[in-house]
Amino acid sequence: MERITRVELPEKSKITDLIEEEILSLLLKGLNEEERGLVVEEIVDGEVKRVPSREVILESYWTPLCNYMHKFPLGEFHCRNSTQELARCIIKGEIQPGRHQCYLGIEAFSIPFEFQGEIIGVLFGGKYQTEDSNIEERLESFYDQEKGWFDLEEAKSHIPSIRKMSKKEIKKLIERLEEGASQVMKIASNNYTLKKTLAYQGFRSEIMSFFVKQLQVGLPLEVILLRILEEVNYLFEIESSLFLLTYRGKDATISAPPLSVDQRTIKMIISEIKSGFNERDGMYSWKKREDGTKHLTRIRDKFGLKESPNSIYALPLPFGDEIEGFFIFIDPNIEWDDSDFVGFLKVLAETITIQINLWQGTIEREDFMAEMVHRLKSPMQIIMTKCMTLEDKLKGDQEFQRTIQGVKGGVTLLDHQTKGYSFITTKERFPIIKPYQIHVLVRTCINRFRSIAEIKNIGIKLEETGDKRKEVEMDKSMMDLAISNLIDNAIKYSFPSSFIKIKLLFKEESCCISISNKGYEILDEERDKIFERYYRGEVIRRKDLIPGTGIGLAVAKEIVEKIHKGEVKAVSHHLRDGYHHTFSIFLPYHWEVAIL
Amino acid sequence: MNMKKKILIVEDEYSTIEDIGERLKNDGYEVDVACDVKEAMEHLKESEYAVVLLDIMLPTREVIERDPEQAGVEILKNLKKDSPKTRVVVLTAVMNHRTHKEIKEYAPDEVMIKPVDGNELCETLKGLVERG
Repeated sequence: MERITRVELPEKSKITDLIEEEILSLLLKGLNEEERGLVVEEIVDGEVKRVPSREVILESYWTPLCNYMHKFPLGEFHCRNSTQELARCIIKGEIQPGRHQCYLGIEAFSIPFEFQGEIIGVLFGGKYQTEDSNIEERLESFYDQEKGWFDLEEAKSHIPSIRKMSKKEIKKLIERLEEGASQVMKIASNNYTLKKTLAYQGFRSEIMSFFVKQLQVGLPLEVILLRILEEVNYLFEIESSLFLLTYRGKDATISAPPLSVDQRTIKMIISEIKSGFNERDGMYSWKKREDGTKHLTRIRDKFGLKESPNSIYALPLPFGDEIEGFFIFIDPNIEWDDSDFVGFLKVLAETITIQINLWQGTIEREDFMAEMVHRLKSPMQIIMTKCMTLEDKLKGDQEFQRTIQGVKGGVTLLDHQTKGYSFITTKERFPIIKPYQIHVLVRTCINRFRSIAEIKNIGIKLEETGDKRKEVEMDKSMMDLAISNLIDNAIKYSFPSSFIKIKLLFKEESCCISISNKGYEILDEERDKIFERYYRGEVIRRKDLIPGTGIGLAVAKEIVEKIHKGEVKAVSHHLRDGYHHTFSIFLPYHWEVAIL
Repeated sequence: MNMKKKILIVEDEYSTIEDIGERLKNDGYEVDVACDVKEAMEHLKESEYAVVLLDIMLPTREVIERDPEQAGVEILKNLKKDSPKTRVVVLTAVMNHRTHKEIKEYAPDEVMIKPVDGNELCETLKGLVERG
């Protein structure tokens, strides 16, 4: 069964979900200048991870004294776990971001990366000494406690390499880095929006493709909507969702199980939603905690639920002035503030609205065409019978006879096209199966097209082999259309002043009608495609040679193969005098019940 | 006139009746025509026909006022019940679910979908008369 593929939203729990590591490194490098490196810490799978990687940043970020401090005892802000421990505390909200001094008085500062209200990473910068850092005194004091543990003079010699900054300089530096960090987050946010848009687009394509495929197999709208609901329940792990649609002008309703309700109830519920629910960003909702149970109890009663739901979300399906409805989620496992999920739901509602509108347009067009085709039939019948009378009355008038043949040919072609159109636009087939002598039908079809062939000076030869009295169980009108389509095509695509050979061969279990002509090239790669609906041969199309709709062969194939369990084949040969094509119909004598 | 050569044309389109009727008469058949259900029923009560050409969609006067399709089916039903030997050719513009159901149930001898070539139609009617 066709399924909707799950489309995931981009992650947003860490900074590297939102921005590529290489890009982040470049941005940091641009910000860095002389403040001895910048690092970002983020939590990955519960562990704090440094970005860019330690190897890249270590050289510029580490001060020579860090080698000593690494072994110092833990202080309030120490270097043993350095920025990673700080980042963890900041992300957890245990300490505030800002300025931090290490055990020796070397100072750094942290700037949080906030995304959608949460800290997902921390930028660390600095590694400078302030005017009152007093690193030398602290080193000496520590040396006194841990005598002989390290070389004091050697350690002191590194102090000048740590930049000394005034309060004003530090303030300016922090401001500049805050601005830089904010720019980084803007880029990250834009990235996320772009990825989210792509995810929505992917979801939209999934829904559209699902809808169209279901429509193509001829499922009614209600069933398609029901299947979409099942898919939505599965994709979003929702207990139940349903469509409520009302047509203002028409007396029609679509609702879907598991909670099907009648039209009157649907109208009441829609009215309830509109008047009583909270509306925000085009979505209506109601939760249990928002008031007693007034609305939810009413909904419970109207839906016939056993218990009142915890929450209901309703997305309007805006169908212009004529139809309105809601796509409703009952007890969904989502929170109102989950804007990303709501985004998916909106995409869903919007896409379904578009598809239903398109579907309705198609139905209206098809109804219009069917009505037109129907109305054409009576005048066409009058012309056909009138032609017969005129033929009888003016037998000696050759010119008039030609005119009559032209008129009949025109009506035959029009009839042919309308029947083909009716066949492909009608989803249900109603064959009337009876035994017929197929040679009579083939001759009838040939006679009908003879006058059309004569216009191009094309002759039609018929050869019959075997016991032609054998009867074939078939729907005569449909097989008439299939055979006529092949003859029509042969005439249309034959060169003028040529011959069409029609062979009728009666074999043991089946009969074969083959129609051969000489005409334009059919490319090898399109041998199967020519039987697809609306496909027209590349050579014909390229040269814009012959007008056509591209449904003739498709209709013939469907009639023979789907309705009669026969087969249609095309064979082509390139000979010296051109391309020779043979289209053959293989038809069993006995009709088997077909699934139509 | 041999009664077996009698054909009834039930069709509301006068032009078609005229053309088909004239051709059949010229070919030696006796032809009666009916433009609606009432006329058709009267003819069927009075005479026995070898073949009836029946347009399934007919205008109705009294029988089934609002349903022209049902009118044709009503005739088909009566024919199969009262005149089982009479061959029936049904002429229809469309083959929808309902037409299909009725046609299958009352099994006419031939079903032709409009428009039908005049010659083809006449040959079909004549063929059925001759086969008896």
